[in-house]
Amino acid sequence: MAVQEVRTGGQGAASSERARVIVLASLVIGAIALYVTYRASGDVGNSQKDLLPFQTLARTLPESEQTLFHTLRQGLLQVEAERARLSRWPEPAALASAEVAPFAAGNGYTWQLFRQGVVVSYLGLPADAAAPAWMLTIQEPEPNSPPDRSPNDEEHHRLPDGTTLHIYVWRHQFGGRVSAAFIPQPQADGWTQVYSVPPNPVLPTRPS
Amino acid sequence: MASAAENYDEAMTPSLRPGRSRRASVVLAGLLAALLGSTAHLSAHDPNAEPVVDMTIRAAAGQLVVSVTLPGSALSDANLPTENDGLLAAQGLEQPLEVVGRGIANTLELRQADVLLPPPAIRAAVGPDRLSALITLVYPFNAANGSLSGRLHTFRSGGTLIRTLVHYEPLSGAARTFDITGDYERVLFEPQASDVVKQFATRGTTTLLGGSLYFLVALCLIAPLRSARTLTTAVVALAGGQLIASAAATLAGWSPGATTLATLQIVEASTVVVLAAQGVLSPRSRWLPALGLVFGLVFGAELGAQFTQTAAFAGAHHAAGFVTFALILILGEAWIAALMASATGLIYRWPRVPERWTTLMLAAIVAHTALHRVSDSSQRLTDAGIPADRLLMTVTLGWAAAILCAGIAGSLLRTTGPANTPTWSDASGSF
Repeated sequence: MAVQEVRTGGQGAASSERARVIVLASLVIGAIALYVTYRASGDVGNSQKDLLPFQTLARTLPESEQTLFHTLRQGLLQVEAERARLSRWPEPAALASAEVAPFAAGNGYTWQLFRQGVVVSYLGLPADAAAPAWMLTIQEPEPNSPPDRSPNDEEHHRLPDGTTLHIYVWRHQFGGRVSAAFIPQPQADGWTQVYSVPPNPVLPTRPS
Repeated sequence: MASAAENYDEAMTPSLRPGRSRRASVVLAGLLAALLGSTAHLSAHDPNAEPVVDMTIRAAAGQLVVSVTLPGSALSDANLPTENDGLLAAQGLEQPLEVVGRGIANTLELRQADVLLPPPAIRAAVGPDRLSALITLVYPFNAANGSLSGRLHTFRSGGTLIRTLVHYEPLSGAARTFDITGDYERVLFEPQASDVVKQFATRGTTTLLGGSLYFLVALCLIAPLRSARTLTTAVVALAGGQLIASAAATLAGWSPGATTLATLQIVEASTVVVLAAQGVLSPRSRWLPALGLVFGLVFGAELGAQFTQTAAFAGAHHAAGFVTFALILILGEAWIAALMASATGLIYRWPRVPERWTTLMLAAIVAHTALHRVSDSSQRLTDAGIPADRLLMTVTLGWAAAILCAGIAGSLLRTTGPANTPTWSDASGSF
């Protein structure tokens, strides 16, 4: 017959057990507190680690450029609304006359629209040659392509008819050295793609 | 009442007394020094050929002069005119380069007491090699107006980040060099002690949570059942070695090249492999603190080099920066070890968790990961044109010799007590 030894520790073992549980709980709470503090510090590691070499985050840009980036993202919503209303992409002049920032006059940029196939680009060249150039690239789906099921996010927007748009915002440091033309591969021409947050690594990026 | 594991440790390690542990540590540390010494020649061929933007910020009477030397790669996105030989045009580049200079001034955002400095006067010229450019920004400056800060950043070229070395030469005091390799940093050139403590606490936390090597070591320490005393001794030895080596590297201003760093990382990762093997083959080994010390020394040397690289950010409060950095790391490591040990203690209380197989599996994972790190570092050496196979052979033979010496030393130092080989059944019992 098998004999099983049962040990009872009594009060000492119970208090020891309690102490261990308290220590472990403290360590876990400490871990959570440290993690939260660390994340809240806002400067967590190298922002480049989740990005491709030609991509960057808006928060790493100078303040004035961050402002322009956010204005451009806001202006994009009105551009999309016009596209839905008119069934074509609005000209920069029309956007300027409608006072849509940053296309409105007096922002220090001259905007031009370029099209190639299903891709349209709004290119903003600075009046000050030392300021960066900006480009908003919008890609519509190819005809007869299967529906894109990516959820709406910074890179994927949907028109009211369900058309999925791919959105890219680009910046060129030397705005005065950029030619006014359609740029099929911006990353190969010294352009940097700007994000608010790192893109989702699972969803498809840059189809062109 | 001492736990079974504690009793076991005491019974199995009769010679684990401070003097002998010290001797063991000295033997292993000596072997490690010899090992590193045998690879020292590698650093002599360190081909640090990466392009670097060199910037000097010099405070002078009434003005602040920023001189920037841009390598050709940092100018590639500027689409500057070139000649038939592919080099920059010898003439007519002043105006385009001035635009580049104004762009640099815009992103540098030099401030004094939070007030942006007025736009600088710009001088620009093509370098004598016609590959690089020299740009000088001259700002009106009065040192009495407050502390200076700048937004230091890397440069980009075709999607590649180019490192920036910024030399700061104040009106009085020692010159400092900032090595900028990642994100931009708003740098206070004369920071207060509180700024330094805050900044180096963040750097310490990032280092602690960003690297996986210490977690692997902690897994090696906690996987076999070990008494709290044994674990504490090992962690203290590791922390001691780390503190000594990092302090020594910092005091010496040690800033190794990429290949020396890769060599160091190979030795570090190989120590983890040995620790994992030891956890399986001899979980109650008396050499655990010695191995912890060795790892601490190597890891500490790397951390010291890392601190040296960022020491300029501490300004005049160098000591405060180092103490904060080292303290955060050591406290964090102790906390991680305690957390993992407590969790393991609870897990092993569940009777269906077999310690032998758990240790074996964890050791396999740790050794596999560590070997990958050895392989990655070796690849970096190979890419730099250094035959890594010879180094790997040296490391392997070094460890074989160390283990052999440890065995001989153990036999010679053993006095009384049971000399039998530990078995897994002996290791059972509560943590």
